[in-house]
Amino acid sequence: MKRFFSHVALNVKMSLKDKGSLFWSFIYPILLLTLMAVAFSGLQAGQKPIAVAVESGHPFAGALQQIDILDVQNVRGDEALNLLRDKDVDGIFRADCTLLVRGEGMNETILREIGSELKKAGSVYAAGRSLDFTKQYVERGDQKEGMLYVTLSSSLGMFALYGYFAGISIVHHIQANLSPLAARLSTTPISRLSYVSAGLVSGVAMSSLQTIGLLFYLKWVWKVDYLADPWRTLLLVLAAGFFGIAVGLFIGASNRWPLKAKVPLGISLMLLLSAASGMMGPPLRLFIEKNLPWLNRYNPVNMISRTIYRLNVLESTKEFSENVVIFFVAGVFLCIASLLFMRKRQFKSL
Amino acid sequence: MRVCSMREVVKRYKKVVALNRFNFEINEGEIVGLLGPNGSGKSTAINCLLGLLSFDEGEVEVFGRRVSPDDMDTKQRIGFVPQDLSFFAELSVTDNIRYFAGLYEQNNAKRDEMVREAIAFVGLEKYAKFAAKKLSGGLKRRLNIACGIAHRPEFIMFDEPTVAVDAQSRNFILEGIKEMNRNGSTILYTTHYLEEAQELCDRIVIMDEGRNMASGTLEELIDLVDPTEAVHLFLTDPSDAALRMIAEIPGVVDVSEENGKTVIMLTPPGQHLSTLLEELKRHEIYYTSLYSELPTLNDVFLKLTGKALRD
Repeated sequence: MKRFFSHVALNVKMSLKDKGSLFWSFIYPILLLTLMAVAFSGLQAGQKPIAVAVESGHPFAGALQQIDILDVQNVRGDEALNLLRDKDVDGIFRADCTLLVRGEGMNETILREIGSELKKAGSVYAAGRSLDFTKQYVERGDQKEGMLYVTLSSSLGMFALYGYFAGISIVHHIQANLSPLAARLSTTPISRLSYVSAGLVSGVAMSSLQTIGLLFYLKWVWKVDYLADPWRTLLLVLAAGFFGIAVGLFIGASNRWPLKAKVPLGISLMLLLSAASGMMGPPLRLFIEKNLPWLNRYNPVNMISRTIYRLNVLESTKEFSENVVIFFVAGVFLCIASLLFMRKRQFKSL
Repeated sequence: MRVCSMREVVKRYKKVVALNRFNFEINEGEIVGLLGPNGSGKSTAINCLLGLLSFDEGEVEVFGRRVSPDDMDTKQRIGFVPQDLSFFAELSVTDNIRYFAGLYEQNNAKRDEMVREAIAFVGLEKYAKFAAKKLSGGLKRRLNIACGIAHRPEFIMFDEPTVAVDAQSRNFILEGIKEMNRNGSTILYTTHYLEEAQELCDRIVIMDEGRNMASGTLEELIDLVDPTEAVHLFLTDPSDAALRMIAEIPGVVDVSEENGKTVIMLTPPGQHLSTLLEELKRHEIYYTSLYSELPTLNDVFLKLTGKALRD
């Protein structure tokens, strides 16, 4: 146990004394989030309301009028078509409750979300319940906060997986055929299980600390509150951190590529997943969700990003438990597979 | 007592035979040098002894037990100083040594005592709080050694610890190794520097192409070749008569003259130089300068392998 704690202390000390690691773990994420917040909050401020035509006789014409982001024109059917043709509006809410949109894009997606919610509302109305159109419909479509929230939560999702780098580093310290230091440590009476477990504990702690720091930064500096549900958010961050390190362990242990290859591999993979999750702006995310919905369902960056958003902005726990369990189970599986790869202690070549 | 042995060990890397029926052993209290050019199999032999490398044939034992990577008792008794600098660059000198010592000793007081001793032993007291990455090359080498010896091992393996080290640090390292040996540690030292093997080792094993070409004390190895001492003279009058006279002096086996320098070969080495000088004086053969070369390990190596050690 004493050795376990000395391994933990070693890992924490190394993380805190490595200026490169500190920069990429703490400074770079803050810089990136700041850049994104500046860029996208500006865009959001300048975002125009979506022009729509609502045909006379639409049962929810009054409700549509109350939605802030819509610029509604109540017109007749033929006039509405002319407006759409002349590109004066992005869509038409027709009297028969169908929706006609001009093409593909952010505005059209928002209109589709509203249209689908109106249909649901219609069913409820038919059942005789009362309706409140003042706030919910756009929020439910995850679009209320627009690009800022999407990009920030995707970035958070990416940073929450930064434990990957700690994972590959642990393996390169203990697997004799991967580095001279590992060869040296392998000649000592070190317990690998103890070393790997200590690396996991310290890695999860550092990774979670980093993500929580970013959450506080967003809350205090940019007034973006992703800590409205702190305990569930913390649990998600811990599970994601554990998963990130487990991926690092697996990539580290399953092959003999040098660190110089494994680090860029991780960076590229995370950037790709983050882009798919909307870090570069929502259009790519929308495209993927339309054409490859399974990809973003199990894209870990998107799972984190979506869950953080739902927990803290929509106050919804949808998919929270499922995602935490997926991260935990996948992490355990990857750790076991990594230990199997690492069971070899004598090598044909070093 | 035998500390370690390798018997008929064969290690192949695909088609390359790194160890070719390699044999050697080390007894308690010895400093044994594994001498050979780069690629001769020295590091492979050490890695087999450490249990890091598997081998195809033969037997390897340390402290009378077959080498196994899971044998923690044996690992507790050995120390290893690798050729590559292997420590945590971000940590301080003290933290590095403390961590490595802590892998062997769990008692904090004893461990801290070991750390103090190791720092003093390698002369890094002034740098104890420095981050390892900020040390100079020579000081990093010393730290590399300290991490491997802090736990006071009975048997220490040094794999070319002085590569790319300045003369001052090299002397410091060699003196330290002698001191460790005086304190009871058995030492295995690999090098491709002849001078180090000559200066340090009780016994030398000459390796080439994975084979044990010869082993013994320095004197025993030199006896394996035709031992001659070469005396280089710059004569004031290198006439044929003078050269004929020199050839008659007892112990002289050959005399030659080239570009004003006369080379006189004496055998056995180290015994006839004073006689030669007296005879030159008696025959009034004068010279402006002189130097003598005793046979070296390189001569032995050249004789055994047909190539110079640094080739």
